[in-house]
Amino acid sequence: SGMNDLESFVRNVKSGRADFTQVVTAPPRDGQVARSKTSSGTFEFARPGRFKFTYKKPFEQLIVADGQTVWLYDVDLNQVTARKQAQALGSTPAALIASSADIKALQNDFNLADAADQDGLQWVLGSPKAKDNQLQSVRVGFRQNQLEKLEIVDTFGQKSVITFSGFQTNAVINPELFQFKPPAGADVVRQ
Amino acid sequence: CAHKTGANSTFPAESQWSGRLALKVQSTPPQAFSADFELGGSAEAGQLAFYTPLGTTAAKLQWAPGTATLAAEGQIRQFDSVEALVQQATGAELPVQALFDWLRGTATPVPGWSVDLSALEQGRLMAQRDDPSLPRIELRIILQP
Repeated sequence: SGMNDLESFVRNVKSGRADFTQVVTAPPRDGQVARSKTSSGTFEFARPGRFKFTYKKPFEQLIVADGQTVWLYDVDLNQVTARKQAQALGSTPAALIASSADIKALQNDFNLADAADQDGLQWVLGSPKAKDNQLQSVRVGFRQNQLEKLEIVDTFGQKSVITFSGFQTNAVINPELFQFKPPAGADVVRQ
Repeated sequence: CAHKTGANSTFPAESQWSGRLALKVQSTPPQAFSADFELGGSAEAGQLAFYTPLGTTAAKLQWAPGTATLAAEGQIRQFDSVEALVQQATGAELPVQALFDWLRGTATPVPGWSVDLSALEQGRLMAQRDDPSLPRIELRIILQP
């Protein structure tokens, strides 16, 4: 079941690396075809609390969580925003995969339950507990207990599906990968 | 590459823009804002949505004559002008009417502001407020193909 897969994933996979494709679909508007935006890149994480999304296409952006701070760096705009990880992370979807040392920690922020199998995957449905949240639901999908999909629906009905491929579990990852040093000349602002 | 998107298909294609924007306000403390965005309509009636890199909607701004609403963090708040609405969402007082002109390639002048549309063909717009009596604002927009 999805919950068993998530539990064993959180317990056994201490770090990992994968390629990802992200497809964001706006809610369909009265009968029109829903529009979508595709991006892709690489994802790395190391429990607890460190992860990195490196967006390569269609443009370069970085999200780096170093355990204390979540850094967002837009290369073209040369701007870095930094937010306390505790605030930014608790209810963000990345917490479901990367940061918690065990499933109980996850259940502080999400109600977790098995969801129906779909597309050959076993799913867990996470509903955020915080009310002032932008997220409506997060679903995590496993294929033969290997993490494959993260599906995020926000309160406006916008859906983001991240599909992982080439997953290397317990990959040896240089911890410096999660140390973000703002490039010289970039505007850095703490929020 | 990214599928050409519109903020809201009910706006004609020529009044829809999407891309990323970065704002810096030299107030004390300094403010900054950056996000993916989709903008549609006009200064009179339109919609502006901000997104996080992971694709979730951070805020949705909608305005029409007599109404200006901000939907964010699970609540909806009313404002009495689109300028007040945009300032609440981004932390910067932006000349919204002129911004629509700038995006269409018309360098409408705004007191205290300078705008650079020289790279608009490549989807880049830069504007700044350099009125010495007010905190400096830097706006950079990159339009997505």
